[in-house]
Parts: sequence; structure tokens; C-alpha cells
Amino acid sequence: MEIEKSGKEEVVLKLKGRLDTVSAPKLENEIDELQCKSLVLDLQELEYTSSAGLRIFLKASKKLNGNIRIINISDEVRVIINMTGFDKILGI
Amino acid sequence: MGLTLSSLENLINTVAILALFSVVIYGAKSFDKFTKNKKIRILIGSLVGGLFGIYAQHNGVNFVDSTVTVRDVGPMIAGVLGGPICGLFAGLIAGIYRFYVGFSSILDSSIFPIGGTTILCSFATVFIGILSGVFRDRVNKDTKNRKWYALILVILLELFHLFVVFVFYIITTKDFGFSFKYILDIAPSFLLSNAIAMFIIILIFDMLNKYKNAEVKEVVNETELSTAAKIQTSMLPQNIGDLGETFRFSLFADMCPSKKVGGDFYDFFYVDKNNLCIIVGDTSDKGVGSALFSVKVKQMLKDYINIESSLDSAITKVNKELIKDNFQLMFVTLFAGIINLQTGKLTYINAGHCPPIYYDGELKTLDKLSGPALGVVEANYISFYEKLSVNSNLVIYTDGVTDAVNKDNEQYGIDRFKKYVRANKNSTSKTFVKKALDEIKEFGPEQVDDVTILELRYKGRK
Repeated sequence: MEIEKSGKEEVVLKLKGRLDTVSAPKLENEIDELQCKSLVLDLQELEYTSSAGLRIFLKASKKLNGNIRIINISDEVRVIINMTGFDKILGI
Repeated sequence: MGLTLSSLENLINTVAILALFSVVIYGAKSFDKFTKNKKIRILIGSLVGGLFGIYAQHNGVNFVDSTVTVRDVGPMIAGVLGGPICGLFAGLIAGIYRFYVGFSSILDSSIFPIGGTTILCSFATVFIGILSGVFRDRVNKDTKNRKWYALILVILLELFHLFVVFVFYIITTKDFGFSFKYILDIAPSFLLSNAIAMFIIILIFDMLNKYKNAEVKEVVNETELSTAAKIQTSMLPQNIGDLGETFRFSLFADMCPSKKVGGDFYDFFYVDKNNLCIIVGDTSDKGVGSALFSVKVKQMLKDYINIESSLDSAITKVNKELIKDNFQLMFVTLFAGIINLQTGKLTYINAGHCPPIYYDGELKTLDKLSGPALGVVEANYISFYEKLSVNSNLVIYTDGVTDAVNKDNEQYGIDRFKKYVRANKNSTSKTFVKKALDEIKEFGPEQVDDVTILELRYKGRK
């Protein structure tokens, strides 16, 4: 998985590829190091997320007191988010 | 300045080759096995240290009547790493060679002072080997700063070496000025080259040690993980005789973790004599953390389902409990069902889990959701019903099945799995599950997620 980072006050992380157990720690490190007030996760090019990825989204949401937006969710990923109930949990 | 830059470069080249030599010997895995025995360790240390000295002597730089070499570093390392005896033997080997090389100079009366430094330097090498062994505890005490202590040691010992040579020159020549100039000429290159040699080689040994320790740690972790895996497997119900009965249903479940221990779990138990509970869950993430969380959840589910009057209230309460103190933000997707074995009525709750596949002549998925995954937000979980037909197949699985990927990044996917269910609907429950796990493993050998499958065949006999 690739992560493209931009912005300062509001950081945009563009995720590309597959977010699974193997790649999740990379995103987790990125989130841990964030110093911003709000975060946008752009999932346009994210093909897949496992529960490991959803947990990182949740972690980011807690860290930023809910100041997180998840945008451009692909159909494949939306199915997973809806199935696990994370649409309600993350307010998508 | 007595020595030129190119001479110093020559010495450093020698050090580089010796360093490489150390890496190859000490870095080899077989070295540790071979040197488990203390005597063998001393023998090898002495030989290697001695040969080091010989090689260094051979590649020294001639200056006046003596040769500036890093010969002493061989016995010094042998002493620091192997102790005084090791240092002594390495010193003897290197010292004897030094004596052999300089032997002609002893007989040659034209060389002044008599014998040059042959005798002195040979002895000094042996002494330095022993002394390094004597001071080894001080050097090795602080592993982090070992290289610095080794650096101090080499400078002190070589200063001692130079001092002895200096005294020897004064005694034999009775010319303080000449002796002093000689020592002053030789000292900088001599000290610098020996210091560099010692420092680099200890540095390399430290790096190799770090690498070796990391490997040992990995082995320990592996062993601990294997133990954890065994405990985890023992906590999942063994499919002993399918719960002791075969006439009302058959059931088989298995979990194949991606790492040694997994976050997936399953369970089945009787709530009472006519009601069977089946559970398949998937804790976010993999490995030890999620395995521990799974153990907790599995136990809580069993307790609450047995106590509470309905599946709805049991799951709602388990969720509430899990939200408390969930600092790790773990969550569990869960399918829990209770089958009335008399009527075939399945009451189930799906908390964010992938929908089970049901086959009764027609294939469908039980895709109603009762609420989000457990452990994150409070919710009231509501159960759904399904009437199981006689000889129907109910397949509950985790997303490790559908999300398995092959080397072309292609997912195994729900369609392949449905096809599998159709094709194997008549196999025994055990064969159904085992074969499916094999097929998925074959599809995506680099398993990234735990894979769990539970198959229940409702037979409907009373």
C-alpha cells in the first residue's frame, strides 16, 4: 500500500492499494506521528481494507476527537465498511 | 613525520581485510555451535588471534629497522574476547612469528641496537595478549561502550609497548635524544593504526552480536508463539464426535491462523438439550494481541448466552462490556446463532460479520445485520430467524476466506466460495471444512488473514 500525504493543518492521506494486516502498521505509524487538527482519508485508490485497516481508521478518529473525514470510498471498500457497521461508527 | 600517508593507508587496508575475515568467521552460524565448548573456543580464539597477528606482521610497513604493524591487535582481541589464556596463546603465535621474521636481525651486528626490537616486540605481543585478557572484564562490562574501553585499552597497551622500546633504546644506545626522536617518529602511526584496527574490529563484533541476539530473540519469540498457538487451539472446541451426536446434526469447524496465533475464533455448545449455540468471530488485526482479546470475548459470549434470556440481550451486554477499557480499540465481528434442534429454527445475530452461506437446494446468504462490530459503540442488537431445512448446509466463515489473495492480487472472493459450497454440499462436515481450507491455502499461499470455517448440516431427526 502507498500513502500520499499533503496539507498541514488539515492533513490529507491518500491511500492506494490494499490495506491489510501487512500494510496496516505503516498507516498506524503515519497516524501516530500526525500533529494536525483534522484529517481527511482519501480512499479513491484503496482497493481493499481488512479489519486491521478499520481499526486504524477508528484509532485516527479517536485521536482527532472525530475530526476525520473519509472520502471517495470505492464500492469494494464501502461494502466492508457497511457490513461491519463502521459507516455508523465513523459517521460516514 | 616518520611514516607517509600511503604507509598508513597500507595498514588500514590490512585492518579492512582482517575485519572482513572476522565477519566471515564470527558471523557464520556454525561458529556458535562449534565454539560451545570452552576449550574449543579458546583454541579457535588463540588460532584466529595468532593468525591475525601473523597476517598483520606480514603486511606491516617497514620503518627504520622495525616494522610498524597492527600485529598486537590479534592477541588483544583474543584476550578481550576469550580471556588471558586465549590472549597468551594468540600472543605466543604472533610473537613467535615476529621473532622468526626478525631473527636475522639479531645475528646481524650491523643493526643497531642489537637485534633491533625483535626480542622486545615479540615479548610485548605476548604480554599484550595476556594483559588484554586480564582487563577484559573492565572492557566488556559495559557492552554499549565496549568499543571505547577497547580503544582506551589499545592506546594504553601500545603506549606501554612504546615505552619499553624507548627504555631499551636508551639502555643500548645511551643516547636519549636519538631514542626520543625514534619513538616520536614511530609513535603517531603506530598508535593510530592499532587504535583504528582495534576499534573497527570490536565495532564489527558488536554489530554481529546485535544481529545474532536478534536472531536468538526471534527463536525465543517463535517458541513462545508456538506455545500460545497450542493453548489457543486447545481452547477452541475439538470436534469430538460432533458433540457426541450425529443424528440431529453434523458440525465441523477449524481455524487456520495467518500468524501462529490468530484473532479468529469459533465455539459451539448446548444452551440446553435441544438448543445448540454456534459462534464464529473475528477480532480486528492478527497476532497475540487479538488472540488474547478473542479468548476474553469467547468466554464472555458463552457466559452471557448461558445466563441471559435471549441472544439479543446477551450480545448487547457483551458489547457494552467490551467497550469499557478498550484502549487498544479492538473490535470483533461476530456471528452467533442458536439452533433449535427439534424444529430447525435458527435464531441469529450478525454483528458486522460476513454473511453466512445457506444451501437448501438453493444457495443464499444470510445477509441481515443486527448491528455494528462489537466493542466500539453501544447498540441494541436484534436477532433474525431462519428455518433450516433438513439436510441443509449452513456455512459460517470469516473474511479470511473471501479475502485470500493469489500472487496476481486476485481475491478468492465470495463467488468462488459459493461455487465450492455447491460442489461439496454432500461431503461430510469435516471433509467440507478441511478441503475448503486446503483450497484457500492453495489459492493464496501467502496467507495474510486468519481463515475460519464452520459447517453445520441440519439433519432434523428426532
